[in-house]
Amino acid sequence: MVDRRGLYRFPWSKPDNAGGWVEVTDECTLSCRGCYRHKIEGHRALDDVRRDIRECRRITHCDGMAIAGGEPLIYPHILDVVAYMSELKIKPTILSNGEKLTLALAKELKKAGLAKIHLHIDSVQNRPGWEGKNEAELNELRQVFADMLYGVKGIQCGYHVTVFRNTLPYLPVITAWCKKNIPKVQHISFIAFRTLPNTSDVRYFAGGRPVRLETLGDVPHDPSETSITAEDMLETIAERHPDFAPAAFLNGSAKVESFKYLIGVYVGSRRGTYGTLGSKTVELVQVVHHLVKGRYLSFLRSPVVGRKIFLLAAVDAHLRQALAAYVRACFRDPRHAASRIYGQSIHLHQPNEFLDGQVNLCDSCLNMMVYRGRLINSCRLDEYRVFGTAVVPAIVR
Amino acid sequence: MPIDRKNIYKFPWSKADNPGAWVEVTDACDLTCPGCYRHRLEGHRPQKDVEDDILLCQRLTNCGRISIAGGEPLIYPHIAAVVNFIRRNGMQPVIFSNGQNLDRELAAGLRKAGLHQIFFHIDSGQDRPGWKGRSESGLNELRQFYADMISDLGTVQCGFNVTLTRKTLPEVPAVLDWVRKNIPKVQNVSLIALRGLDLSAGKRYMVDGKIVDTSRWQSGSPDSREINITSEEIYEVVEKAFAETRPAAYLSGTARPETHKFLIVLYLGSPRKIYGTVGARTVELNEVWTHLRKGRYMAGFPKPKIGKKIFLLSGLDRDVRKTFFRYLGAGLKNPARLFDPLYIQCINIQQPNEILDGEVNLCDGCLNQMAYKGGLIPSCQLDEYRLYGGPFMEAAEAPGDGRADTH
Repeated sequence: MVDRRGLYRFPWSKPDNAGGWVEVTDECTLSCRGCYRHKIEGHRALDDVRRDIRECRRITHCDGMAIAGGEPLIYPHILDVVAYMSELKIKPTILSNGEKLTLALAKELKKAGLAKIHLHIDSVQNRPGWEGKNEAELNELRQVFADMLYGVKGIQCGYHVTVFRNTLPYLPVITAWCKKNIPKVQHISFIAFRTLPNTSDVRYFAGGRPVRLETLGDVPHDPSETSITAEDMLETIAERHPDFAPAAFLNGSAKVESFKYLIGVYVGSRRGTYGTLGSKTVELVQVVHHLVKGRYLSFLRSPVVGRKIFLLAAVDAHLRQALAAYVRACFRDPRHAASRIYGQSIHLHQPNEFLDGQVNLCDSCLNMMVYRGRLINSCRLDEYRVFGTAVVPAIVR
Repeated sequence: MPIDRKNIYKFPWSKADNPGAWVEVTDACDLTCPGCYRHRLEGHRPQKDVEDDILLCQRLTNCGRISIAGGEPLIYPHIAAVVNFIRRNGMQPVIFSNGQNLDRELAAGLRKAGLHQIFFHIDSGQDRPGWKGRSESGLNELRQFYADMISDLGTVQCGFNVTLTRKTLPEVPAVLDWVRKNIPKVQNVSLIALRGLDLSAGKRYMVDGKIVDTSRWQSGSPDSREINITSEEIYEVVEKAFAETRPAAYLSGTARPETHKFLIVLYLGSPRKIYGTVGARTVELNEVWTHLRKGRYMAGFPKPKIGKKIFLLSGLDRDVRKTFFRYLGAGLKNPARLFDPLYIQCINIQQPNEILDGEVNLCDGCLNQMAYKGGLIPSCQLDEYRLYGGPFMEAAEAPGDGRADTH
């Protein structure tokens, strides 16, 4: 049971948010289990993408924006999109499966202004050359990309892992790999698998008319697969990593008590992690950034937070513990004192879901996007593309 | 002047971290106001249920104040006990009343129980006994009566709610003129655009996939123009009458982030003159500082007599700076004004729950969420749950597209 009193609820909202989202294509080079994006449009016109970026920035006031799809790296104008965001002083993050990522392309993306790339790598992708590998074995592939981006310098590296019942036990081993790579890996999102149930006791409506969910394609439903919670993932990680403690969260829109995002931030050096940030540090970073720059922070441009972060130990109990661990480590091995201090965020994400007859979205979601001039949840894009509006479920009584 | 969001602060409130919450103690009432969305179904609620809901709200929303509403809370037999329960649990109790049942003795009892603020709903649409046919400005006399009574209590703050229709919208300046003159006694006024179900021809609504019988629903209008006054329209009327008006903060809509569901103007002044407003920066600093210190947000300022120290924020807040210069100008003309106490007063322009282009557009970060059957719901949707089992959704207009069964 996570005690909310010790956590910070991010101050974000739809019109004042740290993040935004744009999709450049719905084509992809992989067919991952659980993917919610259908191949309908192919590559989008660059002018349309630029217009949506401007609109998204205007409406959400965002600091960073995710470039997603489909697979953005096969979009022919990807460098133009990154450069356009950079011109608008938006921090661009590409969400990719990495299949098309080469050192040469990474260098081009860096030149265009890319701030970060999140690579979706997990064991249910049937990725050519990596079929049958488990999550622990895929750390080898994660290492390839982490080393490549570290070599480029200037592009931060993150990972997405979709979590199923059979992969949940692997979270600690992935976390251990991340912690070991703290200079190279700035972020990891563990995302519980979700899909709308297509059972006989639920009907769906769009625009007040009944619709068939099958129109969205093959929608498998196994309640045990769609019920992993953020707390479940936290518990699994904390068993092996008792030093991991979340600092902040986003709640559900329909179920306020649910955790849609549960976020912890490690501080550490290449010699080890020392502990995590507490809620007070996250709060101070958000409010000071907003007071100074007028917008909330998505992520720092530099992953090196430096030893100055420990100044906040005066107001943050978690950081005090991390400082104590750091001091002890320095006494044990003075090389710790000479090592750079990095931050690394771990997101436990419980996405859009159907709970007790209601759609439970992420309240103040970071991933809002513009569709036909309106702001919508990116996870619901295909409901709009297929049915013209969001789908509303109803329980048959 | 159009509202420029770049210069106003979006409150950081959310469902899980909100300064306010709402509890209803009864649905009985001694008035029958047109547009009221509360149906008489249950009467007075058991005190224990009310207390359980208060604690659930506190746990889920992290709130620092609870609005006690109804129905008419002052006819609830345990009202003082509920006020005291909220206070004992470390929150500020606020009552929303029509005032009909309030006398000095009850007011003193409520103050003793710990009442923080009382909002009176007084407007010309109420057909209030003894005040029938009065215009909004004609009702300022009644508002004065209550403002004086509450002011005499010393520590209880006073606010007013006014529901606005197309007919009463032009009377807003007359109400605000009175409110501004009473800045030491009146801390809040909420100007609330009338909303209800659009019951024009062909409109149908559904809950859980079934068309509902809206003949049981008392708050609706066949004339959509009567229920579409926006915050911007109200603001325009206010700004035209009082040129120094500037909004400082807002809440947006859930389905339409570009709408202003709460639009807050904060006047600074003394009984002799309103000097101007505070701006977004001051509100932001107040919110974040309170949250850093106390772990929760604040709706409003701790004390209405804010004092001249507010001008220290002139360096950070352009609106406060302008207000400061007007204050100095007024002081040069009449130095006695520099010795007047300085007050802050909140004008809250509200555009409540509505269905826009088929989507329910609630207040994002709403202050008025309430506990219902163990969960949290927007209080404005309570009767959708009580009467139909869930929130409305607009159904397709063409016959035969929805399901024929109703409930």
